[in-house]
Amino acid sequence: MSFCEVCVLSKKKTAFFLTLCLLFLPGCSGTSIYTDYHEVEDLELIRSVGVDKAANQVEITICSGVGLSGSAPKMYTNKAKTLSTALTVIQKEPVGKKMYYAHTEHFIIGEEAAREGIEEYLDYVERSPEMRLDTNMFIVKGSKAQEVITAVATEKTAAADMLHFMAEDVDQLGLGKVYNCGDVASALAKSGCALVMAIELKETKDLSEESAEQMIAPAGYAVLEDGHLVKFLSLEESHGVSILTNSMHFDSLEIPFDGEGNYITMGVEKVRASISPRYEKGEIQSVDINLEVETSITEIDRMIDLMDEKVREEIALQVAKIQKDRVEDAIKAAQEINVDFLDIGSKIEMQTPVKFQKMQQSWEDIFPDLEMNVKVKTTLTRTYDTGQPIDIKGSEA
Amino acid sequence: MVPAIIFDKIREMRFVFMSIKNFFIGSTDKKNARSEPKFKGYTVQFNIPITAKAIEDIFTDCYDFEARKVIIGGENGKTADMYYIDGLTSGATIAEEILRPLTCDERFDPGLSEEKAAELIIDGVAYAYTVKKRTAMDDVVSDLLNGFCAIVLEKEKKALTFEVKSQDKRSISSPTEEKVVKGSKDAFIEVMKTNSMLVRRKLRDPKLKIKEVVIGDKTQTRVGIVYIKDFTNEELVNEVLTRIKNIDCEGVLTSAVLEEHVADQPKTPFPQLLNTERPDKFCLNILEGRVGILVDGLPMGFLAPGTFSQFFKVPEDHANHFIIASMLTILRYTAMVVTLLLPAFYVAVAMYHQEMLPIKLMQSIIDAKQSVPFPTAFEVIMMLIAFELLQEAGLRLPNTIGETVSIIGALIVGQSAVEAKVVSPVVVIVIALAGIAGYTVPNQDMGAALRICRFLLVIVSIAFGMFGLTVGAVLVVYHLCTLESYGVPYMSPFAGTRGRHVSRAFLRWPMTKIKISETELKTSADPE
Repeated sequence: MSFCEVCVLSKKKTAFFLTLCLLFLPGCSGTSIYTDYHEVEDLELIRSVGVDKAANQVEITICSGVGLSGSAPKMYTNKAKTLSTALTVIQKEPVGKKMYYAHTEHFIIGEEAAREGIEEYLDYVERSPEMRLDTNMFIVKGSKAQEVITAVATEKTAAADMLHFMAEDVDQLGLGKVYNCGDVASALAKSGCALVMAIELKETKDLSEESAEQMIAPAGYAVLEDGHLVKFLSLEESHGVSILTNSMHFDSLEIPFDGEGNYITMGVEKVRASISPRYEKGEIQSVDINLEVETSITEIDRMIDLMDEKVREEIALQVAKIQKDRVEDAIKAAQEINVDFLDIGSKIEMQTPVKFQKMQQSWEDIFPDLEMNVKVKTTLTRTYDTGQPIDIKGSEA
Repeated sequence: MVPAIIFDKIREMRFVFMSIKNFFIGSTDKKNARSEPKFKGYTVQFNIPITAKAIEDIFTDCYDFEARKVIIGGENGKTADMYYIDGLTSGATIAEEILRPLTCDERFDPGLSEEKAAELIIDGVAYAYTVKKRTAMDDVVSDLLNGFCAIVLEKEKKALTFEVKSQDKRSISSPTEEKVVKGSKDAFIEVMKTNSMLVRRKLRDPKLKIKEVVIGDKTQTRVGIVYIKDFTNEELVNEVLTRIKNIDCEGVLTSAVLEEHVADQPKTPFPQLLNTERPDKFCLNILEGRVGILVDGLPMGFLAPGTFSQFFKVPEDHANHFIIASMLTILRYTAMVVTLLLPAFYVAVAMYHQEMLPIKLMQSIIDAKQSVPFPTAFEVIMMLIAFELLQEAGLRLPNTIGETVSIIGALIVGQSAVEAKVVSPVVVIVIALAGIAGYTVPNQDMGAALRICRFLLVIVSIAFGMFGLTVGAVLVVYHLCTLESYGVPYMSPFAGTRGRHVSRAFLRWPMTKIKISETELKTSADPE
């Protein structure tokens, strides 16, 4: 081996061993190479974060869940100029544990804070290495986030548990879905407006304890424009929104039938909405909204003869009317405030990109007065008559 | 198959890494650089003429060495010296098959020369079924040590040796290490001839060859290389034969002597020779195209080459319904992943990545760990060591005491330690689950290798979290992909086959659709 080769070898060996040494120089303080870790028992898993406005400050309320051993949920509150400072200061307070936000399931914003704008809070969620974008977002209708979190907290219940079950209920109530922080941030960035599930406190009576308790209930959607809360939609309008955004998975309808106090209960199992714009001479004239509703009979008075085609048509018409009204209400609400939270513009653009490009700049002027024609096609199932099975019907017995 | 292509790439990359490694550390391939075989018959050389005195001198101070005079052909017959080693030979057989005919046969004329007498004996006077005429002292000594008795022809400087081996041996019993669920219940014993008989009973093919090699300077151990001529890859047979002949050791009393001498990479903890005490598994592997190795004195057979997937197969895979066999094979691979990664994954998640677990599970872990005074890293290491201690104690002690140790261990570690809040129950569950999963790996050597890797992965997880675990796991896979066993990639069929036949590692196709022989072993049934 020549001298040069020996030199090269020694340089490479030096480089190799220096690189190995880098493993032990991660830039962390302390004597251990594993300084950036936390023992699990030192963590307080925060499941709900509430944000309110309080005299030019951000007031946060954080709440853990109920411990598996039955320990009561822990709540902390703090005020600061910004959300991140407020959360950091809580951390520094002698609470005994590290507040851990990676398991935050619900991000609740008070109405006042939402009206002032939520973009800075979303920004925090987006940048935080712990907070997740799939955290469900709620806006409290008529009160503060802190009130919601504290009102429902008992030794056995935390806000997170109640919100968790409520989010599941939303799906069964036909209100579509609960949007998470990622959805809201994405919608705001894309179209400048977004929908957030609104919640409110309601009183409920626990039969076993005979005392009134507060519970969290869905209150339709809240509409955000440019990060600010502009409107709360009613429940009917919210139903229309979930139909138009194809996020309705199930709904239950009570239909008055014969004017004698008889009701038929219908289950709406699937609704598909499609939009097709109509142009004339390159100008958009109207938008056809076609709904395909699959519905089934859930409960019916046995005296109603379901074998009669006219009866079935009447039921289908009633269902169609309700769905049409809901959609029209939602469209009307959107046009009134001139905020396309139904994303109709994007859907038109998807179908006719070139034509839409021409009117994109004036879409805000076109949208409020655009004619929308809603057509509903209803399919009725489970129309069998349980009172008179087919093989007996018609016989004298 | 994308994973198979990745494994192939890793195998290709190893040449780059090996050259880098050789550059910095120097080549480690010196083990196979042995060019001159040292074995030349017997390592103990006795180049002296065959005489009674010479034999007696060689076996001086051997209390079991027996010598006696025999008068061949009655009262007026010739006197000859007979030698044997007591214990290795059967006294009754000597008396009945040699002494009686030699002393009583009337064909031995007093004037008969030694040469003629020897011919008579060979031609059938002696009843022993094996008679050899030896002209070299080496052979005589070897025969005596292998259960023969020798009669020295003093004038001729020759000896006749008769096979009169003692039949003192363990009977064929059920395998103790490898449980049989659905298959033959016999197991190899310490006698090679019995083992070769067990093999021949299953493979009644005249082309089944058992080549004998003697290794070990002091032990003179007979090793049989088993293969099917014109079926097993000839290069593989020759390579196995060469490596065994090249073994230069004092004795072969344990399996490690053989395994470490003939393995391609003796430093890796992963086994490269498959061993089994079940003749059916041995024969099945011979049919797949492997070369078998039987060692006198060891109650097991070895099979080369050993590949990773082979250590996860059991003969029952060929006995059960193909769907059940496939499901169980997949289960074993899953268990392998669990035993290897679960403790390290728990450490990484509990220390660094608490966000990775569902909230309820995380809450459960926190609640369980609330009053435990030790950090997670210490807890897991402690439990792993406790687990190894329990296993080792249970293994070394007699069965009855071993069970007691297990019960005490389970009570102390599993219950008392948890109740005393010394250990978190979750850690106990994790370690126990990893341990149980490890027991599903059919081969003990592979299980031990996985346990070593498990320890290392836990340590890197403690230091670097999921990053460490990922790098560690990649290094384990890389290491496995760099291994070769007798020219066959250790990770085949996952690597080195471009994704072909990968399914054979996991799934057992119906017997009507497949051949038993493995393509990677290049048998005559799969010429590639």
